[in-house]
Formats: sequence, C-alpha cells, structure tokens
Amino acid sequence: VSLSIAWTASIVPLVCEWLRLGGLDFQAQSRLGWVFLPWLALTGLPRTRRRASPWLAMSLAAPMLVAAGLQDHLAGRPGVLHTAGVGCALLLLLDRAAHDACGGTRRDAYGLAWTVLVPGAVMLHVALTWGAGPGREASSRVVSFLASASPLGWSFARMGAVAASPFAPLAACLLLLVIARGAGREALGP
Amino acid sequence: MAVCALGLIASGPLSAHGSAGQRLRWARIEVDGPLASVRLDAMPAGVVELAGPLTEGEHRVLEVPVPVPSSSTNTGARQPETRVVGGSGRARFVSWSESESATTFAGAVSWPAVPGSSGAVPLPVLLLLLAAFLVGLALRRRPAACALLALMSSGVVTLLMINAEASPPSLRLLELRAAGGGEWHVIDAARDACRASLERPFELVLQPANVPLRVSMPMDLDARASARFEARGATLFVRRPFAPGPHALTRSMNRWGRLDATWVRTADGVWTARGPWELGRPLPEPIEEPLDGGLPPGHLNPALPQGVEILIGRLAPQAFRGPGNGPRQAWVRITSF
Repeated sequence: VSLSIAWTASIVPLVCEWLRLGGLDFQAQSRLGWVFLPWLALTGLPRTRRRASPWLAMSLAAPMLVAAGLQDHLAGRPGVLHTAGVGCALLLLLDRAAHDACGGTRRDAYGLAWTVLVPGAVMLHVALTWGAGPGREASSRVVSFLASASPLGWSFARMGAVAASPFAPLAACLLLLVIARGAGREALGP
Repeated sequence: MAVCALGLIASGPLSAHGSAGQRLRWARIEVDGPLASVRLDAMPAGVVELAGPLTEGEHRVLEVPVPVPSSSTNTGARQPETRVVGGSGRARFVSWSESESATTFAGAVSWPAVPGSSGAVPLPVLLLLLAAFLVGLALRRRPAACALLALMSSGVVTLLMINAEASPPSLRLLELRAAGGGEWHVIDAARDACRASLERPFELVLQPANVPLRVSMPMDLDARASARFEARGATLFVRRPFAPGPHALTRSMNRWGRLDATWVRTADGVWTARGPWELGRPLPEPIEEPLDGGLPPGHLNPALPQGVEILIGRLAPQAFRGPGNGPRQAWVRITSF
C-alpha cells in the first residue's frame, strides 16, 4: 500500500504538468526532487511484514526517477546527477533499514528513530517556523539541524535546486540502518 | 587564405536601435590549423562551437554569430574567449563585425507560442510508467524479475524521451504587416533548439530572454551554411525578411496556396472562422456555427494590435511555405488585412 501511495504521489506533478492544470507551475522546480519526496517519505515506514526484496522500492521507483531526471537534464536544470545519486542512496538505505527492522521485537526503536529523523524533525521545524510568523526565527538550531538531516528536508531543498549537504541525511539513514540491524539481530535471538 | 564572410544580404529593414531581444552579434575570428575545433566562450550569454578540422598551415578568417545578453547587442557585449580543442593551432578574436553587428528589425512583434512546449513528460512515457509499476507490483515476489523489469523500462523511458527531444515542437509563421509598408517576415519558432541558415539579416530572440545560448556550426562556411542554436528551457525565434514574389493573399484572390483553415478578425475585435481557402478563390464567407467558436488557436494571437483587421491561416502541407525547409506546421498572419 505504501509503495502504491508513493508511486501515485510522485507521478502527480508529472501528470499535472502534462495536463497543464492551471496554476500549477513546476517549470522552476526540479521534477526529480518532486519524485523523490514521496518515495523517501514512505519507503522507510516501519513495516509489519517483510517484503520479498529489500530493494523493491528502488525497482518500482527507478523508471519514474529516470523520466524525471531526464526531464530535468533536458530542461538544463543544474545538479541532476547529484540529486539522483544522493536520492538513490537515501532510498536504498531507507528500504534496507525498514526491511531489516521488520519482525524484530525491538522494532519499536526503529519506528521511534524513523519518526524523529524522517518526518518528525521536518514537521517540527515547519510548525515552529510557521508559528513564529514571517521574519522571525523560532526554530532552535537543533531542530533546524535535524530538519536538514532528514531525507525529506534534503528532497524538499533539491526541489527548489537549493544547495543542501547530502552528508547529514546520509548519516541519518545510516543511523536508521544501524538501529534496524540491531532490532533485526534481537529478533533472531542469541 | 579563405575569407568566409556571410554578409550576403546587406539590405533589409534593419534598425540601429531595433528590438532589444536580439541575442547574436557577429564577430570576426582568425583561426590557424592544426586543430579539431574551436570554442568561443561568451558566458553567461553562451558559447560558440566551431567544428573543424583544420590541417597544418590552413588559415581562416570567419564571421560567426556570438551570443550576447539580450540588452547589449549594440554595446557592452563581452569579448569572447577563444580556446582551441585538439591541436596546436590557434584562434583569435579580431573584432566585432562593423557591418550588421547588431541586426535587429524595427517594430515590436507578437511572438507566437509553440504548441506542446511545456516540457512535460510525453504521454507514452506516463503510460509506460504506469504499466511498469503495475507489472512490477505483480512481480514483487520475484526480485530478479522485478529488477530486470525496472532496468528495461528505464531504458525504454530513456529512448522515448530522447526521441521526443530529437524533434522538439516547432512552427513557422509567415507574417505581413500590410500597414507598415507591406514587409513580409518569416518567423521560425522552436522549443529548446533549432537549425537556421546563417544568411543575413536575421534576428534570434529567446523567451525567456537571457537563457544561455549554444551555437554549433562548421568552420567551412558557404552561402548555404547553417548553424544549430540551442537554449534549453527557452523558445527560440528566428526572424528574417523575405520576398514572397508572385504569391499574395488578398480578399479577392488567394495566390498563395491552399489554406486548410482561416480566421479573420474585424477592426472591432470580432473573430470569424472562414474554413478552408482554396488557391485562386476569394476569401470564403464566415461559417455560421463553427465548432471552435470562430476563434483561431490561442498560440497565434497573443497581444495582436487592436483596431485593425487580421487574417490567420493554416497552410496546407503542399502550399507555398516560404524560404528553406521550415517546420511542419506553417501559418500565415496578416495585420491590416
């Protein structure tokens, strides 16, 4: 279900652009960033059942990522290879982490870490920024850093072709993988 | 020494202070072999790539179109930096060309929009993405098959998109402003890239105006030489004057060729559809209840002058379509018809 939702959400901008729906202007934005956003949001979602392959999300997303990346490249948008490389690495890490954490007795630890590092920090940062009103900085440095370390924060930045360091989100995904491996080992027992 | 100056048409409706949209300025370049190619860097306005090769002892003096910012055609354009690729030859910028260094045409023009120029993913690709996802879901318990499917569909997506890119949307508009002395212009509009003859005078305008422009052309120039102009994400308009000769369109007689569809706007702004206009026949009467409401395609009538009569017609494939090999879609637009 999560893969279907991710696929549907990621193709929406491409379809809207093809239909030329009024008011939706994606010309200035990276389509690749748009496509990555829902996949990165839902691929690492804690699961109750293991999939047959830990790379299923990548296999299903690949054709659309290629289409969006080519669109960006042909339109002359900068940083396509950077976005594609980092985005695929994040996607693979998240898919693997969710796969490894599945079925363990301590998978709650992975769920908590994923909630904080992927959607939580970004949501908190946005809420604090919006709540503070225009021109005021209410979000703390820690929250801002966590939001920039979230794969969603990185993807959102790349949508607008904003320079965003890939190291923090990669480190966050590696941390999730480590936690997931620990949870998975717990499930296997001594 | 071969001097390849392409100022073949020195006359024409040129204006020293014409429209500020012209993105080219002619430069005189001196090139000595041996070399494979020469690159002129005029960034951020763009680059020129001159394809060789030239052998040892060969010498050329070339006049080449160099990209300039849209507002600095006459003054302020940066001198391009020359770089030789593949050889020990040399290339040198000599000067800006004194003749027609800033070819622009008098009067504003209502540039047509190129249909299908949104840059959207083509429909076949969207359908392929849907099919690949559904089949991939069905194969989710077979990881190897799923990965193979992803690879194959990614390859097909790439081929489809590159193929769609190879023939970017384009159109030709033959425009006459009867009130301004009856000058004909041919406007070739294309998305992202186009190939155009270097026969002067001509004007190259981009929308958006200052997208970096890449010009690719051979060093062996002759009167029929052409160049490829590429500006990703922009629409390119090449405008040049032409004489239609005996071909003419008046209300009483079509001496041009068959028009598949015709629309006329009255001075008070009311459009009427006239349907096909056959060669040798007078302008047809308005169609009583046209399917399209009597309006011409919107991409051909943006911001047209008010208070004058206008004719828009779509040329039949076999009709006279103006000079050279134009795009498949060709239209006629006559102001003060």
